Amino acid sequence: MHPRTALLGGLGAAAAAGGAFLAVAATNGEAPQPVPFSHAHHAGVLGIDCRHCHYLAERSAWAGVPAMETCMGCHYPVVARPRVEPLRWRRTVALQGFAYFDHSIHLAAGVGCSTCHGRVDRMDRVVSPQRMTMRWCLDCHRDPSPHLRPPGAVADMDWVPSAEQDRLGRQRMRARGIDPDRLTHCHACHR
Amino acid sequence: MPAHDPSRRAFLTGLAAAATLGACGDGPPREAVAYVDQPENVIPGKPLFFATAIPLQGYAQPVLAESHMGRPTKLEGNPRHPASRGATDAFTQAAVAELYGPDRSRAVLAGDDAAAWADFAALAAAAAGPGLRILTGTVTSPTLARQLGMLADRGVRWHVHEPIATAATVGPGIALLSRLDRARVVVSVGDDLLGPGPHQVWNVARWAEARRRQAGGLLLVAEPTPTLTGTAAADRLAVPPSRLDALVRAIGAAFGVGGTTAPSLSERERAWVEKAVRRMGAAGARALLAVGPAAGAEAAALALAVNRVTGALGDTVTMIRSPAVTPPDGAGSFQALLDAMQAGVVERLLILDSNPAYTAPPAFRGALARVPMRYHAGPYRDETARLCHWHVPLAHALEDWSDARAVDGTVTVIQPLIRPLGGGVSAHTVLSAFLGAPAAPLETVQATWRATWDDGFEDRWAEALREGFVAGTDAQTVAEIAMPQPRETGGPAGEGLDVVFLPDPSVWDGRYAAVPWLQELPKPLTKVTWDNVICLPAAQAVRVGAGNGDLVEVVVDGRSVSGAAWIMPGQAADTLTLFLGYGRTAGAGLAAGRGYDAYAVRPDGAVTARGATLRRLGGASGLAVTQLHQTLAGRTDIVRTVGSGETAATDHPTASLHPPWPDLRPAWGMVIDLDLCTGCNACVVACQMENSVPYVGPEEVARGRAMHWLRVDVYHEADGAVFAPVPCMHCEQAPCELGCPVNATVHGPDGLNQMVYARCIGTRTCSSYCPWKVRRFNFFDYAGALPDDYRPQRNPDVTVRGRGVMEKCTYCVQRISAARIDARVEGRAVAEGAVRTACQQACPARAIAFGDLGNPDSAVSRARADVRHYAMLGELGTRPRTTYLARRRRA
Amino acid sequence: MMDAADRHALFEPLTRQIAEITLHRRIRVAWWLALLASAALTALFVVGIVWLFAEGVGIWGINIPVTWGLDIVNAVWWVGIAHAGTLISALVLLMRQTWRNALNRFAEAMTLFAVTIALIFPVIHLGRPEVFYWMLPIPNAAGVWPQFRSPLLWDVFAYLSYFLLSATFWYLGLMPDFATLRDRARARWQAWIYGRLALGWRGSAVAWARWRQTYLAVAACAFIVVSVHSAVAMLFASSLLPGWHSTIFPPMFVVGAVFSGLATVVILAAVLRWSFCLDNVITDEHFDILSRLMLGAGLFTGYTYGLALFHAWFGGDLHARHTVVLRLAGSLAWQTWLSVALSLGVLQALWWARVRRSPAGAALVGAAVVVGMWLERYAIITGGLARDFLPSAWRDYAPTLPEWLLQIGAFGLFCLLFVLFTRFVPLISIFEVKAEAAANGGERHG
Repeated sequence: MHPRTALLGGLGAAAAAGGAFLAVAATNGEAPQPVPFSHAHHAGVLGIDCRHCHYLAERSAWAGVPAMETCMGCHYPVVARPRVEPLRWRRTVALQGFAYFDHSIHLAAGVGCSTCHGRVDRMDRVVSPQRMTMRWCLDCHRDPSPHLRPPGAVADMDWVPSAEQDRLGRQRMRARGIDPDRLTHCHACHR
Repeated sequence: MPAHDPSRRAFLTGLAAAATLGACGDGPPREAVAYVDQPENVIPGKPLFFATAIPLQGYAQPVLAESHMGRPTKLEGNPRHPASRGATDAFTQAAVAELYGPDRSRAVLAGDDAAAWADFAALAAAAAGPGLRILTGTVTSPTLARQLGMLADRGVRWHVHEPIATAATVGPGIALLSRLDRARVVVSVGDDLLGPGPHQVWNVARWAEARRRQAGGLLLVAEPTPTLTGTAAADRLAVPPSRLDALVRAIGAAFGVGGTTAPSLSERERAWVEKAVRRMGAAGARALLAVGPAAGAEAAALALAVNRVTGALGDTVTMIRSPAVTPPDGAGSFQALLDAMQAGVVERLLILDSNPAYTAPPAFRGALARVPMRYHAGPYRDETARLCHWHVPLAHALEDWSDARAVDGTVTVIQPLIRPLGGGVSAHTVLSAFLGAPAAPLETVQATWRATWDDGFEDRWAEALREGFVAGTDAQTVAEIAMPQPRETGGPAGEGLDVVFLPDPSVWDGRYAAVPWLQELPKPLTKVTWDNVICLPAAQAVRVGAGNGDLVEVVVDGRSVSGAAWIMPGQAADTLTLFLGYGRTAGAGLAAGRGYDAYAVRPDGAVTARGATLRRLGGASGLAVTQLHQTLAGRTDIVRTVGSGETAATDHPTASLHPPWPDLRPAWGMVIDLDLCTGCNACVVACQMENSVPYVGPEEVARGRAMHWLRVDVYHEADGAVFAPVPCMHCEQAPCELGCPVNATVHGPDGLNQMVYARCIGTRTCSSYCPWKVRRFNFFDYAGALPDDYRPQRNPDVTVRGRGVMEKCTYCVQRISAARIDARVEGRAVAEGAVRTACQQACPARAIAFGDLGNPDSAVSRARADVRHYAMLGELGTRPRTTYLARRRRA
Repeated sequence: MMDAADRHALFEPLTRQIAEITLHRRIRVAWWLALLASAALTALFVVGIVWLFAEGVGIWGINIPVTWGLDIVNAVWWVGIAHAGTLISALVLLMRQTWRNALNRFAEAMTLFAVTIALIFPVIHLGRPEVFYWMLPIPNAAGVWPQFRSPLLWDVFAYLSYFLLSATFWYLGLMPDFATLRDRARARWQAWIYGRLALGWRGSAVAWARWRQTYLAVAACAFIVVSVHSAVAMLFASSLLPGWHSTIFPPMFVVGAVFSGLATVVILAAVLRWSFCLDNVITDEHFDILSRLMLGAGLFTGYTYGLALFHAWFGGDLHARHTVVLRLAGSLAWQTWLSVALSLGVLQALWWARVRRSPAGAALVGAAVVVGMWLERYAIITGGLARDFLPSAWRDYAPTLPEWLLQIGAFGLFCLLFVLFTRFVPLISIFEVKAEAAANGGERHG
């Protein structure tokens, strides 16, 4: 066999394998949900605050999924509610077990929902806008000031940093006691 | 947020993710399941705490049970409980693992076949009557007592069998309760006050308090075999058990109590007695003479009389209404049952939470065969269950509604954390079946208290569950009883060796044999695991030519047992110690067949025996010992003892090429007071339960791969043994951090030496560099090898470590993180005392101080300022954050 | 000056003698047997590694505190052996000693193979060998670099650069010989392969000039021989452990490495000379020189041992003194005395010229030295860990079968590589030996 043929053939095989891998990897955590719930409708059109359903975000590590009675509150407000099975949602963001992410402290610090999860209010099916790699987290942990919001703006989907964000962000870091030296050591996220 | 180009990153991160996935187990859960009915008060991600109690030999050990999403994961002491003050012992800490044990019985059995509870209940309903007898262990539960009383009304007689005598009784229904916090001097003749058992937390907490205040805690101990009490003694006399009575009589004579003939004592014995008498005289009512079961009943009566004379009775020791309910035949209860069984009077026998086929004298088995119908209700299908027609699995205390009394009589309502995992049935349900009135255990327990409380039941019930005890139920003091008259005794000195029978410090009387973490818990004075040993004095070992681990045979009263020898420093001459709780044949999980069965040679529940012989057999038993070298080898600066006012630290601060760490708060540090540590191992088990530390089994322990993050070293020196708990030192200039090539162990701004399991590739350089050798390595996938039944016990806030990664004490970083996050969310600083490490929290002696070194008023800062403060191997210049307070020389 | 005819008369036999080992059509049975034996031992190596990856590091005898056993002993010992090859081929070259010309090819091959094996052990000994590459400074999604203050990481760089340097240097030296083989090859495929390997070498004066410059420049980098084993020594010396924390370690290790490497070169020289009838090339004088070097290195090594013990004693530190007592008279003393007997005791035979000049005698001494130096590494590494500061942590170590499989298998792998080397690569540097012969005016060296 001519060396060139071998080379091209080998590259082709590698490309095929890589492509197959990427096809899986590029799904980015998407998986079929038990019901076709649309955040674009609920959070976008109806304007429901994130924390109405993800009620644990300010109190716990996990943001939570709504109990069935939360859904019933709107969908069966008065009419006799049927007995339902619990919905088994497929998580779109699931960090490895050795990474301990805590929602409550991020919200308390002023990091907004859309900062990490993107414009969920425009998503019919939730897709994470980026892979949540450690380096991506470190980008913010090394300098959080561009992402810190004023109090109360945490759940604003359309919040964008203003021109003053540099100054405001640093101010908020001081006020809230946020110190990058205490955010970039391993135990901040790993135990 | 910049979006990353998925293609190249995805490929590489996919690789990395696959690699780490492979190492770290199954990966995160992919599903989030919504509640249908949201329970109140549950915040997923935050644990709930419920006050309850774990019975240890019937006595309540109060706990706050930590529950994550409905699964109990950790037990902590109940800080509001007057008896325990928030501490726990090793057995109680392990109870949460016991709950999930795969060896627990899970089915009602008729013979060997599975049966239905309904069938048993029907049989039981017809069984109550004069031909039925019930045998239990120690009962303190008011509800159980009430049910037994109701059965007694139908002619059912109740008996008690307890292989280990723990509470000193002075009369029917009267018990002695020591108050060591009030004692300046304690003279113990064979009484292991600080040793394992239901009274350990009570005694150690109070003894340590007196010692901490330097207002007491002076121990003078005479004992045949080393115990934790003897180790803590200022003056320890090692005498054979046959001499204990003479010592008590000699002390009695000095106080004018007892017979007129003074016993003849050896030189050393006389010196000890004189010292004891002198100290007791100087302390007056603040002295306590405590006598253990090995000395005999006459000596106990004599001691009571002495305490009365000195005024200690009513002060340092009180007589209380015994928390344990007295069976109809009193102290002879078991013998009465045995006689009845042998006479053929017993038609039906219910054995409830007791294992007499293993723990009772061999005559019981023969007598049991004479009972036509036998029921067994217990947590395991043990030796007794296999001899019974019916077996009912009992619910664990964490699955059960019940009540129990602590050693001071305070009642705790036991509430369940979880539904019975394997179909376990409450003891109350069993008895109500026999009463023919089936009722849920909650109803039964509530019925007891409805009757006891005249009004306000709902409020009082809620308060009992919330506080973890019922206020005002501590036992009443008994002022005057007829004092038993001590009689003259004088046993002739026999031939042969004396034998002492002790409960095992890790498995007690054998009931914890199926809990692997307790099997792997090194016994405090020998550091043997997964086995029991026969303790010999050095002279006997030389005579028979046995070394540690060699097989020896002991013959007592014509019965023999063979086991591994252990040369025990400080063992009395011509005295052997046999430990109970091993040699099990059923219901013991991985421990089946391990060790020797001391019950087989134990004469009728005695604590001692005489006239034993010892000889060496060929062969050796491969002992799994965690600490092979148990002397300081001249390195007396490791565990320091100082005289009064003497400064412990002799090192000068060393210069360092590295810049010092910035002064940030909180700066976590820990100080361990060696003067208070009794070596009880509660901290070791607490750490394992909190951090999901796996057990590795005897073969791996023998290879030196035990995984205890915190170990308690023992050093047998000429003047006694000393204990030193050794966790990670969290050095400010850590050698391990220097050695790791991949930044898997780094230093945090709060002073912690951090271990990042996900990054560790397993070069083991950190362990090689560690001067204290505190790091533990997963040579195999130990966590993965554990039965799946234990997975619910794992702490969800701690990473499970896979094969090939290093792990070590983290100062309970998950607790630090939780406190830090809570404080940040609430906009405040972390409060002093908000973070308590698992070891600190469990310690009955409160020997561990932990907190912010940056706060000059914190307990740990004040401990550092003490003259007794020093750093172990401080001269190396690593600046450990874990330091020690030297032992005070015990005058 | 010799004329062309004289040169041809001098060079041709040498060239033919060495080149024919590689080019000869028929392969001797003895070579096949050697190949099979070493392949069988290499199979043991593979078995050991597969077993290790399947079950985990727990199949070894390591424990807490002795977390390093035969794995690190071999990682250190093999790379130590490599040092003599670099010494002979590079450093001695810079000293313009032409006696190295007859030895440098296979000595450098020994270096390359020893470093290869030494590279394997640190990878397989990891608890998680699948992520060994995290030790390399590759940008990654976690955004984390290796920890550059770690001596273990220095070792990674040291071993890798040593491997690259040795390979480069060896290859440089091989180019002219590959050209020779290309020109003398009988089969077309031989000529093709050697031609590719020769990279078009034509032997022009310009080529030789450039070649010599490059060769000397790369040889100068061979001071790496000091830094590599110093880094290895720092792996131990950077710790605080009483038996390890000593500044004498880097020189002790470097000299010990050269010592053990020279011993291996002696053994190889004797074996090759005997196997391939190279008495005229590898002469008794070579053995004499190598033996003197070995003796000198050995005495120096002994001196550093003494210094290490003296430092520990003189410093007065309790723990260090205990270690000295342990090493000399305690439970681990047998390791010390046996390794001293083998590496230093037997060495004294080299004071006698008859032993020095005899290949068998020198090789026997070399074998004792090699084993003694292995034992010395074993004593330092496992003994240092088994008895450090806290008596409660003291525990002994005993290697298990899987570790012995790797030990023997590594030796087998080395032999396999060497056996293949002798078949396919000229095991003596043809052109350098010819240059040496020419420089001696036609007289054979010796």
